[in-house]
Amino acid sequence: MRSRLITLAAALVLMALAPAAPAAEVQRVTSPGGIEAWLIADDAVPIMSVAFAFRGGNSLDPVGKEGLAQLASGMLDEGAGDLDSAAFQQRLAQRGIDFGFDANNDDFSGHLRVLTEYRDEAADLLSLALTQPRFDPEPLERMRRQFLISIQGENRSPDTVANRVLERHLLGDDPYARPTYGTEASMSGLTADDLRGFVRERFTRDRFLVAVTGDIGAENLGLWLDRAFGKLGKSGPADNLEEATVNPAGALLVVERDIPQAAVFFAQEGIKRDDPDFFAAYLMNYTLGGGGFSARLMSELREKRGLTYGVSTDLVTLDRVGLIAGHFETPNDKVAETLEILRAEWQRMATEGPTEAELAAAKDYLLGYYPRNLTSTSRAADTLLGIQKSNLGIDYMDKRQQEIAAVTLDDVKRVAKRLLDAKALTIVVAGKPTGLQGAEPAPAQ
Amino acid sequence: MGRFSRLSVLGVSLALILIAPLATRAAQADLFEAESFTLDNGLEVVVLPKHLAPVVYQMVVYKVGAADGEPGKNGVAHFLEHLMFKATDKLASGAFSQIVDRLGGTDNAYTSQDVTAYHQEVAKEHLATIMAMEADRMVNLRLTDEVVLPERDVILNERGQSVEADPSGRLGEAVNAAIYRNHPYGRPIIGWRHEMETYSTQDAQDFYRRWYAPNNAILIVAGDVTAEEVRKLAETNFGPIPAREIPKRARLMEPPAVAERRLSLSSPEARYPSFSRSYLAPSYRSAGTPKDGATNPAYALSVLAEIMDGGTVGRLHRKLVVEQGIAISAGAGYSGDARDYGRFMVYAAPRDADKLEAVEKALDAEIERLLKDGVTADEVAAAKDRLQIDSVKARDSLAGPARLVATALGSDGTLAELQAWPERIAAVTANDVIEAARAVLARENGVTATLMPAGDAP
Repeated sequence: MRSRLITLAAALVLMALAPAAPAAEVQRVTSPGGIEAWLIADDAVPIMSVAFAFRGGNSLDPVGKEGLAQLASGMLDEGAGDLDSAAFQQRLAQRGIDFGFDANNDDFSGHLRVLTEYRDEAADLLSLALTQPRFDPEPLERMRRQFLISIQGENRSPDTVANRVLERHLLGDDPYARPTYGTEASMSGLTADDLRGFVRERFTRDRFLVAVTGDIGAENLGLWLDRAFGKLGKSGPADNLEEATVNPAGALLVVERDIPQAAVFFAQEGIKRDDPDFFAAYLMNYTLGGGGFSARLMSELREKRGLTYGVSTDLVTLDRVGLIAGHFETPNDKVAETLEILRAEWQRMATEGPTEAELAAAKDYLLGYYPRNLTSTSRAADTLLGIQKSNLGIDYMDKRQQEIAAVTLDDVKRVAKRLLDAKALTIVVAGKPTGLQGAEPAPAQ
Repeated sequence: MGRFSRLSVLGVSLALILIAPLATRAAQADLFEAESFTLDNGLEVVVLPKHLAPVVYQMVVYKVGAADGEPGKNGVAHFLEHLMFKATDKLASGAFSQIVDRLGGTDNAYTSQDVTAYHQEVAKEHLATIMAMEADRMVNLRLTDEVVLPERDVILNERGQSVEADPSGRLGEAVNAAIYRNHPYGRPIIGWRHEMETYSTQDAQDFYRRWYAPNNAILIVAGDVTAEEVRKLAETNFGPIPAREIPKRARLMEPPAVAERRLSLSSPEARYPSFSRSYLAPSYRSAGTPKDGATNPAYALSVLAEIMDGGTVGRLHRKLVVEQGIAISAGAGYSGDARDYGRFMVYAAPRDADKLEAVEKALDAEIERLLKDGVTADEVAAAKDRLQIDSVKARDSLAGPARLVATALGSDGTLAELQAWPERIAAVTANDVIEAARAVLARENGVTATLMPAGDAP
């Protein structure tokens, strides 16, 4: 560190050793009907946020019915029970009930946010949506149309096409590499019966997680949980997907598009959340590209050379695979130079790992940022749900401090060597890059 | 807070839906439980306590934005925002963000036409550190060609990424230029490329000395703090900085509109066709206090946007998307936060790519119906209720209320006006809404923009 920073740095070391304020109290609540939820109670604002999920996401869409989970996520607030689409929407809007669903690769999740005075009404509407969705023809065709337009739009987007090329090269035929909303053919063929089957088989208590934050106590929450989720079926078919395998052969592929700036996406195999070296890998990634302006790639590419507005890398931890992925944009005539620096930095991290100072900075960040996950009821509920999804335990927020502190420089160097390999990088460039050595046109999608 | 209505997806014909009679929600007096005071050197301080998490969100907001720039250099405000992360007397270049990272925090900044705002979110025990760093860079920035010129490349890259490579970005820039023929809001915040290429270290230095001073700034701290704690820290860190003379903000105003403007852009990168119309409108601040106790039309326009858009139950979605089935989305919005002007927008995307004209006709028909038949008392009551609920939800956030304060005070508004928003919304009548609509939704006041995908998908 330069001399001007010393005084401040010394002060910071002392601050880093001071214990962080204790995390909020997380209660385990079990409803009279046996539904378990995690709760952070706080009555500062008369609002409650609920985050919930059913394990199993887009990856479980049957072949030929890709997009089913996504379509379901769009349809659940389009009418349920005796309330048609208009009436259901009116109820939600008039009480200001925020209500939404989302499907990702591994799970189907929902969130709800409601003022205290309307929470029972919200429970009733949620229960209807999850157990008696109508899937009427008008809203179904309207929603299908929206998804078809999204699919067509994605097919036009250089970014999306580049990402698809990347995923296909890395993961081949695995469901993870399928387009998020499916294809025009698969989306066009989905029926109301498909959707009803989906709801019946996938919205069951045996794969259900729920977390709550806000203006509610444990006893009232118990009653609320039964009101909202008590009618869910007990169990559904088991999921039978295998671990995904990652192509270890690197590549440099170009998706030719007439765009003024090239968009570059890159990835290689990484690590999963349950790997004992997860925090070592996280700290390594933070130093390489995850740490914003503190990261090596940002420093080399943006700060020193002005080659890009932003570059970042992430650990992508899915249920059945882990990747290290990143992206940036740069003018077409700078792609070659930028990639050379990217590869050199990648390899430098693999052979040398981070420095003591870099590791200390990464640890400080990892230890210090966590309370920021709890600044609103919806963020806090989502955070709790994330802990549940990864099976990290209800005391995770306290435990993680020790886990992170225990990671040594040797651990991170070992993990960097184990994981990073510039030759294994699959790089996809969307644009018209000039002067690229060893590039091939991407296969048609 | 529903100051800018969110994008709509669905709607319902309200006349057909019987809803329980709504008592209009009581307006809440002290929306954010804010405490405010001013230091001797003119620094305004606002404290927004929130104790859910042991975290603070700090903002330092300078009352200067892109619209205050010299002609030919309006992007310098944004350029300086980037340069504020470079070296000061005390810190090496880039150290600011690195230190915030060390603290486990996040930091960023933004430039609007009216303000330049710097913000960080950190665990509460680090407030003293980040406040010291903001006070330092308020007056001690050291700008040299060595740090300035590479950053000029970065902002050119940013313009490339967010405007030139994005067809909606390009079209939005064109709409701004058309809607404001005289006022500096018509120029892009980031600047025009050919001008950005000429920005110099001297330009940045001059702007910094001209506008950055405690008496031209607002300090906002939200989170797990008390006003007393913040006062002590503010006195210690900012107190010693002397006030400076700050120029008055004088901008060229818009003449009356005389002709409808129409723009269109075709691009292979456009994902699907879309249509929008933007109408010049007053803002909360610029509408001021109308004569004879009449309502400030900005509040009526907020209610109007909620009636037309309403998230899931507005007129436009109901009519165009559900009943007529010719649009895939349709909505409206009102943005009233800027200092000098606001904007009322309607927009739609057609169900079939070649039916854009039909969608525009249908939108026009809805606007005519609105201007001719007005709005019902029920619609107004329901819209106001939804907006009040929004304002309760807005309190469930650390950054949200701070940002609202930043925008209001940074644009020369007051905290009292911001706090009065729920009351003023509650007071809006159907008559207010229709008067505001008739004043703003005139054809000649509008810029119509269409975006079309060009050619077949690659």
